[in-house]
Amino acid sequence: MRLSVQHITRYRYLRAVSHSHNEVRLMPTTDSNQTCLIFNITTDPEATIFHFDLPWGRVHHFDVVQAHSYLDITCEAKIETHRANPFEEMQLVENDRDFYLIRDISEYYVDFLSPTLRVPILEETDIFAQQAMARADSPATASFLIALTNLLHSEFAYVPGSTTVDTPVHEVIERRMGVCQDFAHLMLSICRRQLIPSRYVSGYLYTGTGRDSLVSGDASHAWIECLLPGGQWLGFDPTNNLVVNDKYIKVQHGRDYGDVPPLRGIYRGPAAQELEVDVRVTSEEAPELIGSV
Amino acid sequence: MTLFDGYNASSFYDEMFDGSGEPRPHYRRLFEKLSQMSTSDYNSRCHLADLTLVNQGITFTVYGDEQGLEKPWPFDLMPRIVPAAEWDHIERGLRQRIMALNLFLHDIYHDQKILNDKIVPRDLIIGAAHYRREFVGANPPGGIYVHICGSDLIRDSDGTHYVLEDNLRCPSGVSYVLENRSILTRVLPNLFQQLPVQPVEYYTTQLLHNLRSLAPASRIEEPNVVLLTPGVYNSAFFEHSYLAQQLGVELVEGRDLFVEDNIVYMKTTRGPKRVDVIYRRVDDDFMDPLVFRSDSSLGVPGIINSYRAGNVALANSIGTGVADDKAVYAYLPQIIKYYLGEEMILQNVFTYLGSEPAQLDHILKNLDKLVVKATNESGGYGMLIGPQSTAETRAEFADKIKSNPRNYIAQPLISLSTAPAFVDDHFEPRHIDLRPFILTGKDGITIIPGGLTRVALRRGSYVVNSSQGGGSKDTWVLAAEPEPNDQKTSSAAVSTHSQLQNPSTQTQAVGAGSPGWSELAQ
Repeated sequence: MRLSVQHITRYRYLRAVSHSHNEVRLMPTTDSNQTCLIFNITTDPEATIFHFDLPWGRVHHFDVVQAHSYLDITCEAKIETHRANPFEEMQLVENDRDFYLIRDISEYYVDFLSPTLRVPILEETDIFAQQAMARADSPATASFLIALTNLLHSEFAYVPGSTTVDTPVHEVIERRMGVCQDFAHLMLSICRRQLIPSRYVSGYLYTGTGRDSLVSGDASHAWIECLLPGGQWLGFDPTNNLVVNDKYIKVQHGRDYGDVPPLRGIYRGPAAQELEVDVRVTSEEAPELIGSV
Repeated sequence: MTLFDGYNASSFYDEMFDGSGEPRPHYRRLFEKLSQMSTSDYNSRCHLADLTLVNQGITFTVYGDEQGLEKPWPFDLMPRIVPAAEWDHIERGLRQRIMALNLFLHDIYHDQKILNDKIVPRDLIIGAAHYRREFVGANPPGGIYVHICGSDLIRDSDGTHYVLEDNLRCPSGVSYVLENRSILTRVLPNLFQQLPVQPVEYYTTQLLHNLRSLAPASRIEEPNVVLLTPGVYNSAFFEHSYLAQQLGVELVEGRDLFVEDNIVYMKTTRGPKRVDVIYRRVDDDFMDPLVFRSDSSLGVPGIINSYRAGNVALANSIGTGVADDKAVYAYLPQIIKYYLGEEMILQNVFTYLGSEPAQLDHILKNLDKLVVKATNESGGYGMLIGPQSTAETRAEFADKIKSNPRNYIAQPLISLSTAPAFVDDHFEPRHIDLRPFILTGKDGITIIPGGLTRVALRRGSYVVNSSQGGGSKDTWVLAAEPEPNDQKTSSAAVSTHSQLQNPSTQTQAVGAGSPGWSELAQ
């Protein structure tokens, strides 16, 4: 699919602020599933945009040193996505879990198996793993992950504003509600305890129009990718009960949200600010269908 | 009655006296001079030295001490002497270590060959607290990560030198090396002149030269070098201000700097002035609230991205702490072999890793005999000295270790060597170590002869850290006495080379190479 993203972030400050330094992690990645054709970032007040590359993606950064009372950041991207049918890559029959016991695998993917600040590894998640295993169609890892995605979707309520980026996983488990990044963190926690290397993905989801059952959060969406015994990474979205296909646009992956925050900034001035985010994902194949989320 | 009456080093290796109580050859002249000195005469020199220290405000800070922030630096006037051949061995060992460590750091932040080749376990590095994944792929000027290193050496009862740790982040202490020397030459001028003591004063000149050479190419003619301190509450603030003054560079805090369009500027009364090189004494975590700890007010927002872009240089670089992690230290013999194809010259203390199940078991069973250390702490914090501990603290440590084995290592207690320290009116043996300072620049490695000899001034104490009641001594490395062989060679360069190959040095290296570490039960 050929998709376009327009992502506008507007900050309004109570009083003028200065020395604002910002990092932007919003450029869609280019890999075997998608190609980022165009990416543009502009700011108001105007700033020089710099960038550098880390192994998992490009980071743009800029500063606005002079006094300002608002800051708008506009990112525009065009992406070609390729993964129409993710199921064709899955082994859905045999038990292949021995793969994760190979010492080389656990050592190589240590980043995606270790606990982090936002993804602790908790005994209390075992119950979800057991239930998912019981529900799964086969002993294959992919079947387990599909069942787990389904389980979390049915057990947890998507309630915008019910959590913050710092809400711990155990609280999400207790309250049975959250938003996409909470479900991603929870699923990471479960998978890592099952020794399946898993990573947090930030990105966007094209929902089209008239499909209100799909949600992608206030700004960006988040899901997870798991390493399958075939050696490929595949995406699972517990928020929407979907295996990631060509409607998904991946921006970056990391150990948890903290590695890939879409915007990270610091400035001098009063902390009070208003934030408004406007994300539009559109398809060129259906230009009249504009999905606002 | 002489100052040395009743001096007894018992079973320890004493730097000054051999097992039969005779002064070692390199101490003989000093011994003779001091033997002629009366107690009151020596005492008055000590008072003079103390007075100089207080007048010059040479102090340090102890965290968590309620009696006030700054304490005068305890200085023991009696110098520690290192003969030329011994120093030659130490120097070669230190050069080898720092070369390997810089190559290692470059590798783990780039291709990770040593991890792919399974020489060092990947999870040990990637899981290390001080591994900076934000800095992967960045290129520090000249490929140098550690510009200033302070390595801690100790000496066991058989005379073997061991490196206890290489401090690769912000090692302190060189200001005391320079000050101790300046005091000694003033208080004991005659003694000093009679021995061929190698100079240390060129440290700051060399450091400034190295720092200036790191400046961005467009700024190399007149680079603006500054020293960044966390401020007056830092334990090493005296050193920061002392070094800035000696280097002739501005001493700045984070709030004195700002970044605009990826360039670092210093605020001055005449407007912003671009900064090219920063000798930073602020830890990684606090350098940049945009990249690391967002609650840090000590750093400069945007400085890391400016550094990554090559617009400013930092010494030391970001992420060096991963290589002085005490668990990584255990792999240094393999690291040296991997990058340099050499055997390790200066030995490590044998180290048990909490991350290895069998070794963890040994640690837990022998807590009363071992020294246990947290892998990413320094300065004597987070440490258990088994033989001197109570059952209660051992139980506490056992819990800590079990809850996070990767975070702990254990080593046998090395019986640190002793040297005479002046106590009341006579000399008594006190345990010492040695922290040499190694400078790495674009044109090579420089080590000022000697370094900081730290003394555990409490009787029987092994802890030499200034934060834990340690003092210091001037360290005298003697120049090599001219040998007949040397005089035959015509060129100075060849002469130096032949010294490096000196057979007598080799003999010593063999002695040092033996696994002579011993467990000390007391």
